[in-house]
Amino acid sequence: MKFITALITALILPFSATAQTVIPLEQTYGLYNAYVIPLRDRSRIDVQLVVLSGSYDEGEISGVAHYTEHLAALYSDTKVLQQPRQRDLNAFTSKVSTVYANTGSPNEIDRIMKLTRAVLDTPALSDAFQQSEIDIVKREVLYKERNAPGRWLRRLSVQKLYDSKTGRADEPVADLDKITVQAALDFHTKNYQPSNVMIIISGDIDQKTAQAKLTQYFGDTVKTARVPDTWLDDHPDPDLRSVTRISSPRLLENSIAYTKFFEFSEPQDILAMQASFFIASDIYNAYIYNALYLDSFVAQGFSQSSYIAIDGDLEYTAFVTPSPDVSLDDALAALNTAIAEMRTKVITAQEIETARAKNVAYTKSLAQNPRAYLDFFQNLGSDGLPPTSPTQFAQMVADASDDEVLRIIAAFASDSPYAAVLATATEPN
Amino acid sequence: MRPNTFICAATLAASLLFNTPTLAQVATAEDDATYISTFSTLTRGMASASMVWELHADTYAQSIALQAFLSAKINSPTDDITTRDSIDFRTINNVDFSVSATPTQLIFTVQSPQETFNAAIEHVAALFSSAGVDPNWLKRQTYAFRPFSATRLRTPEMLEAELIRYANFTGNTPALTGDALNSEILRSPNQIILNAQEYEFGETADILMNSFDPYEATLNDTPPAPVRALPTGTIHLRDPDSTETLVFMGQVRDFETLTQQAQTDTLFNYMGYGPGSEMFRIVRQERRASYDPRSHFAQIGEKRAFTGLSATVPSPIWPEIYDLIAKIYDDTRAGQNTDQGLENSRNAMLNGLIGDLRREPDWLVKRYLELYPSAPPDGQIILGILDASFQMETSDLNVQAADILPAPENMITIIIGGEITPSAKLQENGFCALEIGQPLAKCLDQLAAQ
Repeated sequence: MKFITALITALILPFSATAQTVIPLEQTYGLYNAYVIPLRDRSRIDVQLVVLSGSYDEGEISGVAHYTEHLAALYSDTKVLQQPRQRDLNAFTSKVSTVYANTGSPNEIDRIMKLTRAVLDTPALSDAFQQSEIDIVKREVLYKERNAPGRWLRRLSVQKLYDSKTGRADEPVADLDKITVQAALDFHTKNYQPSNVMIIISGDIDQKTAQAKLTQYFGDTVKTARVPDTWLDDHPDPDLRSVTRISSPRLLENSIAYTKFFEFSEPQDILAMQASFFIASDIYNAYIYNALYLDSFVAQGFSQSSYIAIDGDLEYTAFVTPSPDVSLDDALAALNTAIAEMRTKVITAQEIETARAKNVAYTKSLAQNPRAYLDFFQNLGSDGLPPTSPTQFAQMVADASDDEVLRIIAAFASDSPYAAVLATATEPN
Repeated sequence: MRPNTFICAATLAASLLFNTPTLAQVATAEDDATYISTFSTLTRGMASASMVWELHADTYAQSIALQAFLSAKINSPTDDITTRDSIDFRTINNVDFSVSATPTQLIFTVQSPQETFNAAIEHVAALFSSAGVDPNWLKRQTYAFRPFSATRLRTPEMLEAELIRYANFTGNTPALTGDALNSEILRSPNQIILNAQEYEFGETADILMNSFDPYEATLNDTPPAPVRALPTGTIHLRDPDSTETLVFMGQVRDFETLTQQAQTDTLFNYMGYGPGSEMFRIVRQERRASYDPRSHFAQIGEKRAFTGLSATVPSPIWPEIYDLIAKIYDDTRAGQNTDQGLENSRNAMLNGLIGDLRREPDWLVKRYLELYPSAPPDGQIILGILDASFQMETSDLNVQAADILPAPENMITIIIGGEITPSAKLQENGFCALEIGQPLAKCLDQLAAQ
């Protein structure tokens, strides 16, 4: 068999993976921290500003962090760009952080840094525009709820677990009616302090230039105390085993949102645990996935995620869509049984190696997706930890000890607090 | 018996400066064979193989039955491979499987980094070599592929999908399901389309074809059903309880020329693609009325595309925003467009094409199949839309816009949600009130009959 294949000339330069080193900048001035990750195979520079506060840092009114993100991004554009408000927002708000990303070619570094610096200025936009931006936030929240009805259930399960609505409102749009411009400005004043902000510069830039630009644009910032993450003190009742039943036409199918809290009795070195945590969560995810999806057909759809906070608190979230002939209660029972059975499972060395291989493959796959690359950099940064590059992470995965992996799996499988929301989908009237 | 294999090599030449891309075939083709074509458009380091079975599905029910069966097949365990093993293999080796379909073809694509591609092909062959399909997986995938009406979640993407389904599937043949599909699918693919730069595919096609025998499918006894246009007029789903209303105006368009298609794509980009567009600037930033105002342009056949404008807006003001969207369309059609904006929109259109060529092997396969559904031609292959798009100039667009874009009365308007009934003017061209829970097709059929 003979193939005659000719080439297409490249239209887009490929984004290939080479070793990446995360370098802490020596002079960070008032900032919490600052890093540069030189990537010689990239033709662009990305600067991410991570405010170490997000929706969990809100007060009674849900949506303030998100609205503040809009105002800060729009003000930054208005101040620096000649044609403000002509692009979509370059930022997002998560539970624990707010991230702004500006990108450009190396010769645009000054514009990128000005846009980044302006995020920390008190937003000064016209009153009418600031007020009307609340409508856009409403439309955005409605858009997200419409496209992912499960978001609502996940919020409810976390709310039940911690008995707190902070960052987990039932109906976030309703809360937006209570938002004021002043509430956002207050949130900005409190949380957008340099000492609560990390800068990650990556791409076609060297350490010396990055330090010079940081000095030029952030050299006037002054170190203050970091804003405390008070939500870290929220711990569930150790005896909580909560099951809430609801029904709603908002859902297309019956669903379970499940959140489980677990922790270690002693303080942990969270940074050192990261790779072990990724491997361990891959293993216990696989067991639960097998039990509900691959072996038993209990679930029609199934997703899981885990989060480790900087103080070592761990949170496991599962979203289960039972198969059509499986009840919500049976699906929940299957999930709880699968977790309980992990307490006596023997995890083999081969399973740990397979999980290692998956995580290494994940870091390699990032090379195909520059956006995912940036997310990887800020993932740990959002918790206040030093960012990690895919290359470094691959090494951390290789070095992670089996004992540490097993210890995390045991903690996950322990009989610990959980909250489940069992939602029945109803037809619209 | 092994099928005859014919090879067609394809050359896609395009330069960094957007010279005209062309495809050249150098081998001839014959009937009753599995034809193999090779393209070189994917991102460097990646490789893909698509198996294409010609299978006529004149109803969407038949199409999703085929896709569900194929999806179940590639997830079913074999004697040697558990589903978990297969999933782990794909994760560790960055292997991606995809199943898609046109009204006349079923497509399976495997894509991976070149360094794991041989292993991926062996894995695919092993999955297909196993007899039958796991009934639980067939049940699961059949449920997973079921369609939802856009009237439930009311997203523009679901509305687009539902309208394309209506335009593409016009028959009423009872669907084959279950075991009957086994023999329809597990036969030699009609075409295998390979795609990679700087990569020797070697025995890839042979390995894939080893799993199958050649014979004709029952579904192909029936000729493909014709496609249809969307009706004109207005559909309104009244929902007094809704706070948000989805506003849509558009049509399925058959273009006279490929240049007209590229021009239309550019103008719809101008109206509603991204933050620089008129929809973003006016509906979102000035009027503050929508988070997701956008345009739609999806190629669904040769010189055929789904086009439209949509926005989800507060229900009490939907008529006002509808008028605003209609004015954006009228102004663009009247040629009141900035030169820079048109140039940006053309570049966005070209970037979209390049992105599809680089990252979406399934997209190129569909474009190729629109031109050569059964076999590659004897002569040179030219994907004309690439020529037309790269050669299109924006300088004449404002002068020609009124001819490029149809008059608004040729489009359908769909309003989902809200209490306000469409104005008499909006009902002039035909009107259908849709009840909650009814399929959109009820009103589409009613308007088509008027």
